[in-house]
Amino acid sequence: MLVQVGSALAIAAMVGLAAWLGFTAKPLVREAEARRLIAEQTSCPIAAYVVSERGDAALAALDDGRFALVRGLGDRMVIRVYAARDVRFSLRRRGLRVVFEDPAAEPVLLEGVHAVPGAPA
Amino acid sequence: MTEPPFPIPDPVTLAIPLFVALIVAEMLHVRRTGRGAYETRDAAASLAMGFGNVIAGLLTGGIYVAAAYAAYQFRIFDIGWTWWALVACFFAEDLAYYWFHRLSHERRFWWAAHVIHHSSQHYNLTTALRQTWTGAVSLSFATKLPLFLIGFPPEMVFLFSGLSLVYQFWIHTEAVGRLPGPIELIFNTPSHHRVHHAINPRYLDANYAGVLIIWDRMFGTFIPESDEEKPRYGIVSQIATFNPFRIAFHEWLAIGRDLIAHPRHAIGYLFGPPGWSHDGSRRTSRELKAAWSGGQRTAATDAFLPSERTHVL
Repeated sequence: MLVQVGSALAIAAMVGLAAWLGFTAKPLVREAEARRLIAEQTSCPIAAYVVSERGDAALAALDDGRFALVRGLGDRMVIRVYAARDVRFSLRRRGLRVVFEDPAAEPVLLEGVHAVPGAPA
Repeated sequence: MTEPPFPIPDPVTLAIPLFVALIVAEMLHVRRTGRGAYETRDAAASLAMGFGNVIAGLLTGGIYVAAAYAAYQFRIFDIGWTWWALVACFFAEDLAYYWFHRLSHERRFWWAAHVIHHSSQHYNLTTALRQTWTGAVSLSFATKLPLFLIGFPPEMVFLFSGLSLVYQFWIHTEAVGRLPGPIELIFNTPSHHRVHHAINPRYLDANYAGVLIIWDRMFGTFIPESDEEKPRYGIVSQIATFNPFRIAFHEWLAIGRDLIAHPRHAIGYLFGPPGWSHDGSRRTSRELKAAWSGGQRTAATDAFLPSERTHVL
């Protein structure tokens, strides 16, 4: 028990030290950059594209019906491509919430986005 | 003499203060020199996975211990605690680790437990502690059972397994470059293990060693780190979460989804290589590597490869 409690305290101290040392950079998703990243992931053209107001995530509808997610994860970027059936949307007051049928991806709130990319207005 | 001559300590528990001290030193080194990288939430996730691994070990470690002693009942030889037995056990345990580790990369059922360790896009000492919670589920200790059947005392094997884990901690760093030639020739080093954690096609499926890199050299899985291509870390399809529970179970859940969707192909989705699919819609690392080595970096190949830029923004 002493080992577990000591380990937990040590973990808290190390995480605190990491934050104190400033290892907290967050990348911004910029449209040109995101388009280029998606183009590198798939040869399918982008039909429509949205980026959150905060610039922490972007979602592109591809010509073949799939969606490409670009989002910050810590100081890195993650790109994942999904079939349409694996993506669910819900419009919220603050923006578009996107949930993925993918246990390796958290839901995303695209702040300031109020329409599904590629959907008829 | 099959009883240990002295109480056998748990090397991993004893090494925890060393782990903490080295992580703190590495953080300060990265801050000062810019060599290597840390991210707070990534480090927190890795450390949480390590803590969870300890808890999981308390809950399920008995399965391994019971299997070890059960196998030992059927041992071929009575190997005592002699100097030559210690030497032989070190080599045998390290060889068994090589095959366990290789299996953990080449078959999805075992990969589901091991992918956790590779799920960070960073490569630092906290990554070493990003360990599985489900090792017992995948019976990942099975490759060690022959050691008990041969007759190595369980405590001796546990000792070397623990020492191997402690050894492997320090090689998870970008702060150490290449070591002098003889060391790189024989031992697993930070350079060799950076290759193991890399997702660049040229580096896939390589360097499974625990302590001795000689096994990779013997079995044809050794790839040296190239000055021309810096390793990029993580998994081919990067996970998009720091949630420890998602990290721990995402591949198991993905397997479950595949089994429900394609029950006729259950064997392939369970025991095929990671990336296998019945309709060829996914790519295994072998296919990715073959496409790369054939100089055929097509758009189709690129679709499954994280780009260089995903790691530098």
